[in-house]
Amino acid sequence: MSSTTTTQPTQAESSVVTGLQTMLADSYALMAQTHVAHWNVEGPAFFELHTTFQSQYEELFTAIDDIAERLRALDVLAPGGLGVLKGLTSVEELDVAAMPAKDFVSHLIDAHEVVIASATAVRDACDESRDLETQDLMIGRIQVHQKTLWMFKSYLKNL
Amino acid sequence: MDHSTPHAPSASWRTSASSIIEELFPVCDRSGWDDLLELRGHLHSASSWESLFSSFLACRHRFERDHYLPFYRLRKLLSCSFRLEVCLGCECVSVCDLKEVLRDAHRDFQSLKRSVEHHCFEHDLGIEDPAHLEVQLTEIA
Repeated sequence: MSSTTTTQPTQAESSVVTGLQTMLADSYALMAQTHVAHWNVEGPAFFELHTTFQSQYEELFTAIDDIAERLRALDVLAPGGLGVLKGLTSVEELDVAAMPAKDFVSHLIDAHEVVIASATAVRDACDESRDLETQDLMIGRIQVHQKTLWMFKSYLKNL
Repeated sequence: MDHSTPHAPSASWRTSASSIIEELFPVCDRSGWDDLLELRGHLHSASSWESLFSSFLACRHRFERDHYLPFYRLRKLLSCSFRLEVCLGCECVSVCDLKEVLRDAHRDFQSLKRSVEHHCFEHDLGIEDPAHLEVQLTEIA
């Protein structure tokens, strides 16, 4: 007689997976909004912001793939589709309106802070589940978003 | 202190706005603290919302150049927490997009009112004189 044992994920492992799904959705929302900012930004700083936003959404596209593939490596399906991702993210939508370039930057600062909060939650959950590979991925993402915040906040100074 | 604290939607927009103002004290010149204190006071015991907006616009005019992000966040909180209506007598003739109105850097509430009244007058042929219009702020529950 054979028996099959199924290992249930621990609470810590589940927290990592849920957190990664949120992180994926937040990053996707941020990428989409950075793309909108790339299209709609106007003003004297157009060329520099247009180019900067493009490099940022391209970087995010690669990062999102890494996050989704990490979920697959944990044997979990990656969430997808605009409706599903919208339900998972708490990143606010960017208005489609003419606005000062500084408002695009300020909006994206708030969005990056949401993503950092999500990544930090996953990083901390990884401690308990001893998932150092996911933790390494999250630390890398936090570094990228913190660097972007530094640049955006520097841009806003004394304009 | 920087302004990096994320200000998530709060049960009370006043609490979120107050914490943004608190973060401004250490980074703003002391000569402007009275303006910030007045704004904070209006948040908690506004005798009229117009006074709150006047105080906000005055502080924004004074400090926004060096502290854009906190004023962007305050602007966002105010535009989500208030409705701006233009009335003719007892009838509401227009509800303005406060987010859009606050994108313009009005120096005071009178200037904001005039701009909204004129915009309404220019777009509504039924209004004979912008002086008959009244702009009202209502807090959204």
